[in-house]
Amino acid sequence: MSIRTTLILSLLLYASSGYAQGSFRLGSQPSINLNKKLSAGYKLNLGLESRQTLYRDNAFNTTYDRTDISIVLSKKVGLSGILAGGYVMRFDSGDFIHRTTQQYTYVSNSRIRLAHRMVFDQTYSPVNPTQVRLRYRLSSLFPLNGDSIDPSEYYVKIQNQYTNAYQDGYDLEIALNIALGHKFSNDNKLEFGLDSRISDFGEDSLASRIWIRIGWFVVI
Amino acid sequence: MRKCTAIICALLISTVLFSQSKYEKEERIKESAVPPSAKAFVDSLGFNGKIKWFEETGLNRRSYEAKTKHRSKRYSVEFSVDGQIEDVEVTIDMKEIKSDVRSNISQYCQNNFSKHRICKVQIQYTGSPLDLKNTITSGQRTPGTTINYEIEVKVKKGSEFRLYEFLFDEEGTKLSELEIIENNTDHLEY
Repeated sequence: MSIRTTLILSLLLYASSGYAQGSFRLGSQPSINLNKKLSAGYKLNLGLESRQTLYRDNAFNTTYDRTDISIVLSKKVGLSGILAGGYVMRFDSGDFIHRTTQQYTYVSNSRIRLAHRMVFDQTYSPVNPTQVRLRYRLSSLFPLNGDSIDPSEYYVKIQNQYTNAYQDGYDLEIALNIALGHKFSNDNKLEFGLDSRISDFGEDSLASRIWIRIGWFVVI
Repeated sequence: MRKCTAIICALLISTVLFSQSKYEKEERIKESAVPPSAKAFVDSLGFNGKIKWFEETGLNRRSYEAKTKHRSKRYSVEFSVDGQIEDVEVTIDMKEIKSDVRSNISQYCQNNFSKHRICKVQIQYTGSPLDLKNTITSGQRTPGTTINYEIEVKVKKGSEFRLYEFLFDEEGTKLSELEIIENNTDHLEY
């Protein structure tokens, strides 16, 4: 399948997900990812992400949702694998929520760069029972100029994620994220895109959300 | 101050000389921006697929490259800035290399690295424009065409994982190596 066909199909899927029946939210989700290379293949990632709702229940109403601060230590294992473990502190509606994460990422070196990420996480909240999630995400990058993404060039990033969440009951969330990125240098990238999510598959109506995302990835 | 400047210059020069890293920037260009001799040579090869032209910029050099798919294989024809043919590279499967040559290449990797994985294999043809044209159009190598293998290998060296581009000759003897600066994958991990 050509890159153009893949992009068109993804956009169609993306558009259809936005029209899912049920509750709908639109918001913004800016994030900063600071990465520090350590010795012996170790890396440290510090993340800061906040979320605001701009539109909900058929009305524009800007509300602050939450802020996540995360720290993740990762290590290259094998020729293409990265094993990581981390901690997320979430400030949400006046409460502090804690999350521990364990993840494995496999990045392929094929012509089209693909990454498979599997994350297992546990969320501890003072008001809700512990939530356990298992997530799988497939990411792919498409250069917009040439065969590889070089410095000062733009690229498209498409991600598809499936989240299995267990808390009182089971829920599945499917996310599709399409972003336009600019690679300033190998250590500095900026991405702007839309992240569409559908969940509540067991309910009478689906819940859908679209987040406008701006992400800055920088190596310090 | 003069001594200090000399030391800094020496350090900078040694970094450039010994890093042997591969840096390439590839930019898609229009056919009209390509030297006419390069375009004419590619036209004479009888490729059926769409030809995409690129300008490749390295640390010390610039070149033009025509890429296409022909007979189910990816071809890359490289030219100097004045349109002189430099080489033709065809992406192949490792299994397509003769078994004794393949064995020499594998042996080299096994002897030098604790782990390795072949990521990309290209057969590289060099020779006169006529020899290269005959080799490509007939699918049979002419006597005046030299064959090398350009192989991208991910290796474990000590405790570090690195990506190299090796050039092996027709017998599987290593001619040169370049470390490829790997792209950061933070935006795929988080």
